Amino acid sequence: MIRTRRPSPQTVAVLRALIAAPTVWRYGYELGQQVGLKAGSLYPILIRLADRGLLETCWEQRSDELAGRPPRHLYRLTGAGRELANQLSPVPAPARVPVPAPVPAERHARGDLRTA
Amino acid sequence: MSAFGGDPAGRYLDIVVRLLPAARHEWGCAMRAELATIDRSAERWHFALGCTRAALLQTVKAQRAWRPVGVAAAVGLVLAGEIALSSMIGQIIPGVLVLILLVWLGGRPGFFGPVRAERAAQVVRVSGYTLMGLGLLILAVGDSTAKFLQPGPKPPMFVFLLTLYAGVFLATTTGRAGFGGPGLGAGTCAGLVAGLASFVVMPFERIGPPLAAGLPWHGSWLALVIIGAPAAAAVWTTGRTGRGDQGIMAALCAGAFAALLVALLGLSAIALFPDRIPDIVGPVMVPGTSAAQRQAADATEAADPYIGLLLFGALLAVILWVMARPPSRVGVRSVLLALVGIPPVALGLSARHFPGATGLAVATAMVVLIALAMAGRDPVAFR
Repeated sequence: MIRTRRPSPQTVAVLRALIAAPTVWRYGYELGQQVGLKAGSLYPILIRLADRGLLETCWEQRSDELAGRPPRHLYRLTGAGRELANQLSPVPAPARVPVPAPVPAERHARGDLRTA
Repeated sequence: MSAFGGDPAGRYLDIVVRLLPAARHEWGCAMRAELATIDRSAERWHFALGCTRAALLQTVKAQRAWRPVGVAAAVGLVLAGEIALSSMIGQIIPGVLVLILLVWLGGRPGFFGPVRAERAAQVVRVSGYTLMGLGLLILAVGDSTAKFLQPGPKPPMFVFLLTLYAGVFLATTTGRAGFGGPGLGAGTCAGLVAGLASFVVMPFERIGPPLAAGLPWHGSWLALVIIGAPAAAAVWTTGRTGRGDQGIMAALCAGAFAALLVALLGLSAIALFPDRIPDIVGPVMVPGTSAAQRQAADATEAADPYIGLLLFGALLAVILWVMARPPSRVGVRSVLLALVGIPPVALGLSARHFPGATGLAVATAMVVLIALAMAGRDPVAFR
């Protein structure tokens, strides 16, 4: 039998941060800063969540604001991810969690990368 | 060089993301895009270095096919180290490495793991780790006191046997194993009872009188406990599960666990009380032998019955493992059982000078014969 492990505290922190504003697409770097995780811990968590269908990803829409830099990867929880996040902890008060403004995003299938 | 990784941190990250497997290419681009938004040089380096860990983790995960080769290489290195370093350190360090390796393998899907969601299996697995750790502790303490397990030119039997035990503890507690919780729990409890009773009556004259000497009839009645506990476990398990093979496995589990317990207790006593070991080898030592050499030889001699018992218990554990293997062809199972059943019987018969050895050999032979008769029944997978 494959053991179903309880998510690590770091994963729980990421899930909590994402569920605080479930419809908002989030940047990886800001998310890491919010939950106090370095890239070395954050990306494996994001990859695992995406592999398990708990996180959806997309690429930033092309716009003039990009100004030559590449589009960024964006993240938010799927329905299953929200369900898990809600099971793990009560939803925190949204007003207390600083979240960025909604990011215009363009959905792509995973792996269908568009670079600037 | 990428279009957006011009500075050293960017160039470094460009190299790092190439380590990612092709299926993770998207994530490499995500990391590079995030780096492009960071201005401060120190922060860029922090981020790039963090991404190194993430990339390496993904690379390692992608190499699943190489895992068996890696594990085999690690085990090979450990065994080679044990033989090459014929000192106590040459046993302790590889022993610790093997323990770490087993703990790791125990958490991965495969031959040794993960443990099934059943309390008995979980307790037995933790007990296995603990006992192996205790064995290594005895080795370390014994090295500084009695030096009774110095391998010298011989193979490092003690660590090898501990490893064998730990491997069986793991293999019989996975979801693939055909040894269920009732038998596992009953066998372990019976082994604990039988082991403690054996230790009390065991001829312990090389360290001191048997602990049972002060009991009524010198504790001879404890022989009933020693025989009765595994038998009771077998009967109870058979009744509970309705399967004779589970009962046989419970008896084997009890025997193996009892032997391990007695051996560890006996070796602990030798390690902790080296001064109480009488002069056993004195008459045959050559003149000029130092006191330390004599004491080490006495300790080795005193430890021999316990090492023998450890070997006997490990052989029982191997029979248990063969019985608990996932379903295989009847012929294969029978041949394996016959092969692994002979050594413990032969060992018991060859140690006739040791009280109770013949009885153990006969009991083992009976268990093996019954197991052979039941070899046609596929074990149940307790998932």
